[in-house]
Amino acid sequence: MRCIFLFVALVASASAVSDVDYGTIKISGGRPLHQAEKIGRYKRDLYRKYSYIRCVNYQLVKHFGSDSYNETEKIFPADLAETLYLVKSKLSALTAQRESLLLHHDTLPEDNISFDEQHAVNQSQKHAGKIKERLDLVFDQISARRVTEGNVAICDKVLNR
Amino acid sequence: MTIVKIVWPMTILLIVLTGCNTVPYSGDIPSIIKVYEQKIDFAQAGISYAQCLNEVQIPEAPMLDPENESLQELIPIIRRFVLEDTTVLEKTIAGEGTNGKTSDIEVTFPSFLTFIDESRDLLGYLDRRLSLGQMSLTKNSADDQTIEKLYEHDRPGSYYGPIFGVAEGLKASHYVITSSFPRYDVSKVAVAISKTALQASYFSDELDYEAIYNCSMIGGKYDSRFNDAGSLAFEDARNAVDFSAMSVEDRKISNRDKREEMYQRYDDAKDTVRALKKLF
Repeated sequence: MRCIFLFVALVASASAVSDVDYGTIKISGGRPLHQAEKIGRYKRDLYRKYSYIRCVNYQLVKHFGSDSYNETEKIFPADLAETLYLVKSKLSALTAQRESLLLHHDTLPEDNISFDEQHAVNQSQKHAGKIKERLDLVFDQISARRVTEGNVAICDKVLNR
Repeated sequence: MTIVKIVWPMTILLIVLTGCNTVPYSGDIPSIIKVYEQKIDFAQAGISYAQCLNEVQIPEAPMLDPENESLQELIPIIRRFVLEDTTVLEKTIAGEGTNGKTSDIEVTFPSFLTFIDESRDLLGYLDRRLSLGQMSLTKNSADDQTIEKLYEHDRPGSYYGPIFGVAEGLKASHYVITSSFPRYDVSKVAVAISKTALQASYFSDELDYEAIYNCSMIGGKYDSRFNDAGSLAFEDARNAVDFSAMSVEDRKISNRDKREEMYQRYDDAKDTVRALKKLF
């Protein structure tokens, strides 16, 4: 019984450690490929929410037209468009950064990235964090409302739920 | 029996050492004909696919969604590659190690139509050989040797460098439909286009995604070489999109990604060790 308890505790603890908290940026530092991998995971999460919001926006505009969509849903396509534009630019920047980090190897100690490169990565992560906060606000607002009009339900697929 | 005991393991060893792929062909004319017939079949399907994509309107202005940007980039590439002869500048290295000299060579990749014409010439030549009772290429015919080398070159994993210099009097582009060169892997690009179109249909109506997907219908049937969704029609394929792999980029399995994946496993192991250390 004690062994089972210990095993469960071990598994729970291990999975808790492997979870990455994207609310605050914890990417900076570490070996180049390690950083690249974390950027990849961060990017996927960003992309997923970005795509969900795009899907909801698209389905609502298709159903109501952009004018009546404003009045009925109180979600404003113009505001969304700006957020989505920022996220898209950041996704491209993160992709380029990840590609650059992947050019390194993790096998050689001398293959660390340069101080300047690390500084650029850190700055970019901070900026990504701010954009993500903005995206998360919109995402929480939209997903909490569980919009049922139009064909919005189809967007749940984008989140795999 | 003793001879069999000795010869058989040696044959197996020879197969392993030389690479299994080289054994079934080795200048065997019917095998070469069969492979080229399959290639011609694929090339014909590719032409049908690219001609269909030619009918899809692609705006020149920058597009907002990344999926649309990707389609805007990929569709013209595949159209050009399949329908037009493409000349590229390639760097080749002669010699070994650091002593090798690099030189630039213009290489023309034939359009699929040119490839079919040239392959039919080749098949005609091989058919004539077969009708004379010759079942395999011979070492004492210069034409046979050229064909064998072109054929050897054209296998997946090989590179087209060696054909230069052996194909004397023959254009470098002859018979080089190289699925072995990933940049020009038509099926891979076509599948990426179909998947991206299905995915983009959730976010946008700026392109005609159904028309793009339906280009994978070859000869009245959806062809999985061009869509990876088998026989599913647009709506069903759209409903079957797997968003767990969210982007085209994430689906690619490059060496970099493999390396990253290896690192990821190593990283997980480190996390687990850290967790254990905390517990005890």
